[in-house]
Amino acid sequence: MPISRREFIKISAAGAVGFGVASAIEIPILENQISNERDQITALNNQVSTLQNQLSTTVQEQEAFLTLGVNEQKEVEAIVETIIPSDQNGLGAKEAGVIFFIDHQLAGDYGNNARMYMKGPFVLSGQTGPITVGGITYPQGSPVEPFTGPTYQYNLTLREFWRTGLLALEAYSNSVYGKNFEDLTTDQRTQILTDLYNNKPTSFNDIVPKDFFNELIFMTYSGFMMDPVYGGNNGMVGWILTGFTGANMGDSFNQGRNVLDLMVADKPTRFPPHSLGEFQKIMGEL
Amino acid sequence: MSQVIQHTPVDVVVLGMGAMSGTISVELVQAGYKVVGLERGPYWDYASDFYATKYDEWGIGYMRKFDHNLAVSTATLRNNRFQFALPVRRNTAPPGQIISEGYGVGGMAQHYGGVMGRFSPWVYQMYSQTVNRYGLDFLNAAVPHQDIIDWPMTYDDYVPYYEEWEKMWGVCGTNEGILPGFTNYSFPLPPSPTTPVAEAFKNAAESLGYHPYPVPHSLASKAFVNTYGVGVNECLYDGWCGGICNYVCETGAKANAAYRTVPAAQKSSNFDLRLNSYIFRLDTDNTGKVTAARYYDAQGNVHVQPGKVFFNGLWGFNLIKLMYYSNIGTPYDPATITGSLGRGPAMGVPGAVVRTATGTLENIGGNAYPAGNAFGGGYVMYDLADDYFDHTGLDFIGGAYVYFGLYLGGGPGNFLAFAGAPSPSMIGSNFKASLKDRFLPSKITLSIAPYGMWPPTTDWFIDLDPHYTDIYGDPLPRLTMDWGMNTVKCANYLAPKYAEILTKMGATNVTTSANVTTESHTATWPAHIRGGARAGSDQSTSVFNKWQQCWTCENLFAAGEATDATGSNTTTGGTHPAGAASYVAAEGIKKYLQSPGPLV
Ligand SMILES: Cc1cc2nc3c(=O)[nH]c(=O)nc-3n(C[C@H](O)[C@H](O)[C@H](O)COP(=O)(O)OP(=O)(O)OC[C@H]3O[C@@H](n4cnc5c(N)ncnc54)[C@H](O)[C@@H]3O)c2cc1C
Ligand code: SF4
Repeated sequence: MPISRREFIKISAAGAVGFGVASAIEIPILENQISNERDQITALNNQVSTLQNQLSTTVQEQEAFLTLGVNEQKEVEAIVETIIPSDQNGLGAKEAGVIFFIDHQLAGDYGNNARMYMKGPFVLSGQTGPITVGGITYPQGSPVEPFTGPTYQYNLTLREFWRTGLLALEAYSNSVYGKNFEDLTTDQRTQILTDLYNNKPTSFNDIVPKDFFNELIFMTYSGFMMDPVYGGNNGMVGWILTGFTGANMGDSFNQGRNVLDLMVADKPTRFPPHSLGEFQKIMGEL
Repeated sequence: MSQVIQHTPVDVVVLGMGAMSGTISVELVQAGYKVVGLERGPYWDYASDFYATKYDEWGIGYMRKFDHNLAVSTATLRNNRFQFALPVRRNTAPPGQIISEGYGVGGMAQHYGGVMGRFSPWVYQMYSQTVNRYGLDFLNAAVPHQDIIDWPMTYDDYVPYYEEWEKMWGVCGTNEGILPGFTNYSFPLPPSPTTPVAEAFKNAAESLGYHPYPVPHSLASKAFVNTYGVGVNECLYDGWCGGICNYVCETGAKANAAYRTVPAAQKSSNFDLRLNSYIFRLDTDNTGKVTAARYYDAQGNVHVQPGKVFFNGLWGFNLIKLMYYSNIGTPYDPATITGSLGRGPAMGVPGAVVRTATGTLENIGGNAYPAGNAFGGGYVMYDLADDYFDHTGLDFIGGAYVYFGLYLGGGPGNFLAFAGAPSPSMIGSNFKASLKDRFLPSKITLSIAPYGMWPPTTDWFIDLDPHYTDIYGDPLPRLTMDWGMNTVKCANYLAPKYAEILTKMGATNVTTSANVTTESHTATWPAHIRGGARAGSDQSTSVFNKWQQCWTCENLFAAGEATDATGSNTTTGGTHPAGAASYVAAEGIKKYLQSPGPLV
């Protein structure tokens, strides 16, 4: 058991800081060392897949739907695997369980807009003027806003926004190709999603198609990159792809390194990723 | 049944318990006065509340689980007064920092970046120095409709207050970090160790004749005991600190009132801190003085807390909206350009990157391991900021500091993978391939963004929204603001200079993003709002005097970014200069309690 971080915090106030042996993998920088680095990373990835197996029981328990209907499940699975496919660079959104991330978010605070301001009136962004709201006329309409967050000006919970958008997407897919989205080829799916981005569908159940596109991209990458505790990023595949180390702070997993050493090192150093759950376990908090 | 609960009067009632309120509380309690602190949120205990749960990018970066809940209240935003203002309905990252208001003791600084830096003498006299050096015509052409006022005191006047703040807060840095050419005094704590990329920047900048020095910050580089006897842990450099999400700190090394000032105030029985207390009104009498603060408790009871002096530490538009609600001050009217409440807001940092210079550095030997703290490890230079370069012949005022080489892992930043607006290019294997080994260190993409100087104009203001109300039925604050062409012209001028530094560092493929031609602020709405309730020497354009005392309501004092007369981006956020002003306010309140009346 390494020194608990909580203990460490107590000790550090007194100035006594100690670390164990160095066992992190140091990658020397030489001009032609990139392939060498990749080998090292493959080795790390193997370590990770061991961890992945250990995690698989938990993962299976999380693989159940709380809100997406069976039709929606097929459609969402098709959307996320189109956005992040499984390919030579590793597993994709489907294998990462992104659909469970989305489902669980939509079933909870996120989908219920629990922490969102939801009072009316509801006016979309980027309206050209003049517009009249509550008896006041605004010659220049409403401002253009960032792609997500404030842009959300719908009188819908996000769960309803998804339901509405998914139905409109199937309708649009059928109008263009005579098939449901999940039955299309990858190229056709990409085309349909691109059409949403370009606001091509003329009727989309009162949603601006691009707003739905933004939400799909946002939630797919979030499901791929956020901690596995949320049901996506199974086996930390998203982190393996980018090289992000998660809750591995160097000193927490017996690698015996102070993060500060890493920051100022003139040799790049990589650790395998660890999840929040692993962190809490190893710290004796779980 | 909710009731009205009347409390016995005290000397000082402190509204909110963020950075500014912390100073007031400890200073007045230690001077022997009875103080009540009112805070809507909890008292976070870093070792318990943050220790196990903060390594959560979704919960912190997106769901903002330790922040103010927007369902309770938010703000509405627009670019000009001919537009309808839209409410911020959800927080998100990216683009981060939509609002992320403080919540609980310590306030916003629980999750800020902690970059520090004093404002320069020019910032304190931006109006008069610009006019003296370049003429009023120059200023009016550079900043159409400019509404710049001088601070009520000069830089030299603020120096002793800065020093008090720095010793309490534990600012890290060297003597150069105070201001260029300054040598007699040093920050209480050393800077964080620098990175190899930072050294490369420093060498390149120096060879171009610039003067880089370690970035000052407030993420304790050493364990220390501050001026009030509060012990502080050393930073762990764990990497979940800044970045786009801005993380809470699990050690208390990140300076905020909860771990610097409030513990010292709490040692005295003269301090009564009441949590879960949502302030909604100040009562005034017919002499224009505040008689009591009204707040809701957790059960919806209304509490009335009378006092001799009231300190408004609610920050930004919250500080301002309470004054509107309570009919204190003269609301600004943009049609006639009269009134001062809500007047002159500007942004400390345009959250949107106006223009960037980018390049690629190979085999730098830096470490892309996502570790380190938010603002340590790098260098900053003022040479291209404020009026440190001659603006003769240019068409803008001010400039921007350049900071570089900070720890690369200031927050996991997985959101950055798609930090730009989503687009069809993010679908499929090509984009996925571009994410591969983003943290692989043998190649580093360098990017520097000039934050153009953002001075206030008469077109921008903060008032109450006529359409939207908060959960209690009170109007939401409404912000009317834009980039302004000064910001844009300044960034356009600086971007090529930044590219020059990158080239000097040995970067390849150095480019700058496109020249910006529009002032329209469409990319983000950042948290760094300043002004709107300015301190100044003329009550027709300011709300507070040099003692941070309200011109029209003598027993109301305030400090925070909202009372900055003007600012510059020589420091982000501006907690450092506002913190100095909080010590001015503390002294003002002591003077007032000894002999009430308008202070001069
Ligand atoms: C993401 C982010 C990054 C930042 N980075 C930096 C940085 O690097 N450097 C820097 O200098 N600054 C930075 N800042 C700004 C800095 O955090 C703030 O300027 C500073 O913390 C504000 O202190 P304050 O005391 O004025 O207000 P706050 O800390 O906001 O305190 C106000 C308090 O009042 C309470 N409150 C509000 N309304 C009510 C009410 N109605 N009733 C009761 N209580 C209420 C709040 O809960 C809060 O605790 C950043 C801010 C953000 C959001
Ligand atoms: S890096 Fe340091 S200052 Fe930042 S959160 Fe961690 S311990 Fe706190």
